[in-house]
Amino acid sequence: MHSLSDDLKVGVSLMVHYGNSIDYADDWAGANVAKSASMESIQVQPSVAYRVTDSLSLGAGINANYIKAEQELTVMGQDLGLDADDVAYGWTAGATWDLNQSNRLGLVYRSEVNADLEGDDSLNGTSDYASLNWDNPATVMLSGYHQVSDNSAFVWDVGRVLYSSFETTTIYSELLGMELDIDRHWQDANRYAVGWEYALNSDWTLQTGFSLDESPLDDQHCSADMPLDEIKRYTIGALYRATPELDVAFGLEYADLGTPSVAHESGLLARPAGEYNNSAVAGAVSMNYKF
Amino acid sequence: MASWSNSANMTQLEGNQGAVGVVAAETDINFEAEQPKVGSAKKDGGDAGGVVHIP
Repeated sequence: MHSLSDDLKVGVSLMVHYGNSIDYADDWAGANVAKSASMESIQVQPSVAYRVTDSLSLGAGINANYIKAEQELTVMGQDLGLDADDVAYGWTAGATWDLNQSNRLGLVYRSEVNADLEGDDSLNGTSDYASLNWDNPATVMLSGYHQVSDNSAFVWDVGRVLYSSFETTTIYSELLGMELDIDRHWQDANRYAVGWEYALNSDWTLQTGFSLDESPLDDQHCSADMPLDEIKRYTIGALYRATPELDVAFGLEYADLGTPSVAHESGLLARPAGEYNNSAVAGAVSMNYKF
Repeated sequence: MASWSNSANMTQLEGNQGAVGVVAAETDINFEAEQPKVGSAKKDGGDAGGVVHIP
């Protein structure tokens, strides 16, 4: 982030916003939908912010997203591999209101990112052109920061993820000479989060939080490549001011990824009935330097 | 309200600043099949998760 003036700032970020990886046992019953699937993404976003009044600031950015997908599945008894990527673009717009010195609200919108991934598929040692689409949904988020005492603050956000725009994953295989449509049936879903910050002293601040992400789909439409459900995240963290210029942050997260049920479906993309039990743990460290 | 999630928040920052971070995550995804309606045998997904390091 670079200050052009007290009121005008520019910045650029390089981030991994999302990604997933799932790798089933070789002989599991849903291999015709997915034996393995992964998606990697990295985003670069230049942005600008301007303080319009003492209490209102506006910001905007455009982003370029490199997205790479790999999937292995069994179609009509044959192992099919897919490896494709694309660069897709989106934008963000945001605002913050300083209600007073202790309370601040923020509103941000992130646009949908529509990617048409192209690459190769492989079948029995041969490869040819293949493609699939991926629509990363738009989000809108309202957030708040409230200093409730000299050493503690309450933070929250409420958001909505517009998953319903992602209707179908269409996989085209030149080798098979056909398109495979995976209907997603995703629904828009809300997100709720609360957090608390407590400053132990001038060097250490403790943080904790909880968030709930509603599931974008029901059991009837849960798929083996993305077995999604309601997500509950529990986090703790600490911020350490190592020097006046350097802050170091640590965080740990446990995510209850839910127990999505899968209904049996027959046909080309048949899948087994059953239930998942999913969770994740994560650790993070970051540093912020002022110069 | 970090400045990377809401660019308007950059006006709260002073001077010039840079940040770098890393996240490591391990997922645990288990599937219990109800009945072998698909495929030749009743198989679950095993430990389908794994470790992913996100730069």
